[in-house]
Amino acid sequence: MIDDDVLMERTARNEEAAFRLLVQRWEKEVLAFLIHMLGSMEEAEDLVQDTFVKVYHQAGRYRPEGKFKSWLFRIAGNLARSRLRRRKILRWVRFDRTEHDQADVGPSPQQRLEEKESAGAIQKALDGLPDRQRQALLMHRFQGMKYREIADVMDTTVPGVESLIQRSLVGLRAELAGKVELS
Amino acid sequence: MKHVTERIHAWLAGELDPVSATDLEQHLEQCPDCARVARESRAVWETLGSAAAEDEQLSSPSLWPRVRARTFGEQTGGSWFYGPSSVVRAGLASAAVAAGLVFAVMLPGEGLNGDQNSSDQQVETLWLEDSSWTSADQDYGLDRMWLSAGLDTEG
Repeated sequence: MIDDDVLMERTARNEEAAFRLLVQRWEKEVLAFLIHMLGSMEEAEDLVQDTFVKVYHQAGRYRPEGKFKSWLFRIAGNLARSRLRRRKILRWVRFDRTEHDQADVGPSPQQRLEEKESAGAIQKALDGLPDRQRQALLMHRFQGMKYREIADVMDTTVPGVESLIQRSLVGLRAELAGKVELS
Repeated sequence: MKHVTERIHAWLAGELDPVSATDLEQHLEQCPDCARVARESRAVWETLGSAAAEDEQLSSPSLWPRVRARTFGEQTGGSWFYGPSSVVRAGLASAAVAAGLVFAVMLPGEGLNGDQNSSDQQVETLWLEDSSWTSADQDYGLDRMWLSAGLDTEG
């Protein structure tokens, strides 16, 4: 298998086939990460595209040090957090009274049913985490990245990552207790 | 006894060195509070692991055509002008401007075979001077375009 760094060098030289291989190699993993970050397939697909467009445009600045995955997920993570920030601002600007009223009376029967589905409940619990905690947890538990790699991606230290993941687990334990049959 | 709850996740994640992991395991054998947190944390950890395993079933999104359209496609599928290199674009622009100049000089006269008389030359000069796109008080950015194409508009 051709190394990611080699493919990036060739992408920087404008070789379409090399870039295509990179996209096809990583798109599924980036998509899974973004789905859990954003809780939306549609938005995740948009951002996967944005991620790879950015990879292409910044290929000339990539340093081939064997850290392509970290670099790729740094781009995807930054785009996701930026999207989440925008979403929060929009939610604040477009305050929806109907939605707010519904929230007051609790979830609908349909929503209750969906919440019983463990996948839905897990995603909901993930959605409730602060963005950086969710990003660190997903990179570790879903993408299999080591604390050191996550620290690189998130511009923090290994103890910083440890703290983020520890707090995320405390949050998830509280949120999932009684909702999901924990394995 | 110092509780170890803040390190349980790192233990679950396999991020503790062997000595720290053994210390923690010994503590869990003696501390029911930490042992309970460890059990609950492990349950959440494994549930997340199952969810992560479900991601494996995710079908490949096949995003290449859309990504290509926004990268290589922009170079080849858009305007003919937007070739792969800015050098090529500058060359094309220079050639187009040069051809335009030759055409402009030839147009009012009799062509290549004709003898240009002085009135033709005057008309030509006036036309160039009066044209809005060369007037000094109306900047349509043409001067900048010429400069970027390597031509000196100052003559």
